Amino acid sequence: MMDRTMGIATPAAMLVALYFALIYAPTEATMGTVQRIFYFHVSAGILSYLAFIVVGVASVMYLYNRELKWDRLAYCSAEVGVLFACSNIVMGMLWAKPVWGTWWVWDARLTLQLLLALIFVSYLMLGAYIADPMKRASLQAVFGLMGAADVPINYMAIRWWRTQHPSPVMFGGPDSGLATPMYIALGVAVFAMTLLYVYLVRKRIAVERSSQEVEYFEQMVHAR
Amino acid sequence: MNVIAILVLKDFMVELRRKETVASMMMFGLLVVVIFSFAFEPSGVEPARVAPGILWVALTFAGIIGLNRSLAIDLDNDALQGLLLAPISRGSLYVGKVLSNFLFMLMADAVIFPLFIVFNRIDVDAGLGWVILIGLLGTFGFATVGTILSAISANTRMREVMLPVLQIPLALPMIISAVGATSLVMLEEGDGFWSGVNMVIGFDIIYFVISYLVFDYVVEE
Repeated sequence: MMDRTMGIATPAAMLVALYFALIYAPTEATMGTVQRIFYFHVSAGILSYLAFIVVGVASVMYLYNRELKWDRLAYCSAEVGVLFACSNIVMGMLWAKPVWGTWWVWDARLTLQLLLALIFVSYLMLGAYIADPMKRASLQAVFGLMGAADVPINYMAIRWWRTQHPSPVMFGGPDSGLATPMYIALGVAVFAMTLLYVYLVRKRIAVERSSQEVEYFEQMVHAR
Repeated sequence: MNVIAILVLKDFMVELRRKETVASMMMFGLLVVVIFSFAFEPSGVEPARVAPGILWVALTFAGIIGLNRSLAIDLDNDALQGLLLAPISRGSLYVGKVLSNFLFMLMADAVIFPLFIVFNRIDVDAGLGWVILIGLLGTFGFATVGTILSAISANTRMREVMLPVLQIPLALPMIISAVGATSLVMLEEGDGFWSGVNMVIGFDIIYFVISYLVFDYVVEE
């Protein structure tokens, strides 16, 4: 029931977010239409952070009480997080080419996002290369915890290293800020992306659970 | 005698008999220095601008070669089982392994570093002590993360490939800070040096504590 509701609500919310981003929000004065990708770019970025925080917390919970549901949550959230991080990077590139004149610069925030994506891709690779399921769960939890701990350190190191990305438009001092309709469009996009995240993680967990069940039954059959 | 000292001594004895880890680290690090010197020489860039990067790439890759061997020698003949059965805490096992990895890396670095200075024509008076300090701190951080990650990757298929895949993204904030601080010293620009060094120290402490706490979960059966 819950899944079906979300299956309808998520695409509906995405359509509404598209309306707000493409039609409702005013065109930005200097960058023009290309700026409209901002609403999805930023919300994908926010959701990727959220997904990686979930990986860290779920990993700690798994190490603490050894319930497989935490392992599943961590693994599935990492997958969806990598998806969001990569789409965030690609959308950023699409924006950067016309505005900055180049697809990529080694700026603080870009580097951070790239490293986060790399850390969690290696997290997924680690899972793929361990045969024993219990072993995989605890080793991945350890690496997930270490990867999540890397996020603030990375942030500090890279900020010290260099900065060129437009500074945060919200809460960034007196000059920053968006027009109110832009805030609303961003809020709607973040909401829609959050629904998408929850929907994807729930679906992915369901798939994972049934594949574990199949594995269990296979072992039962072979044991006979 | 202290448990950790015994563990370190054991690793040194094994290394003294097999003579493979430190030698392969030295050779590999040297080759990296040589390759990069060839690669950058024709570009005519002032050596001090690219040298910090070359140094850290060499130390990173040499370190990974050593770490790949570090737990593998304990897995041969199930020696690790014996260590786990011994009445010592998993934390001490971790600390002992970090120290011996750190010392092996330093031995290799002690050969790589002087040759790096010669090949890249580094001005020796220019804050050599500071570069060595960053080298020590960075190598320690690398050993800290690398020890636990080598224990993780020892459990996977394709061990040797898995370690760099896990380690390099995780160690990058430390490497970025170390390269940054090293180039500030070599270009004789003082500003920001200490924030780089503090970042490396912070990385060392955070990962030492986390790894110490979770090492138990990695080696459990």
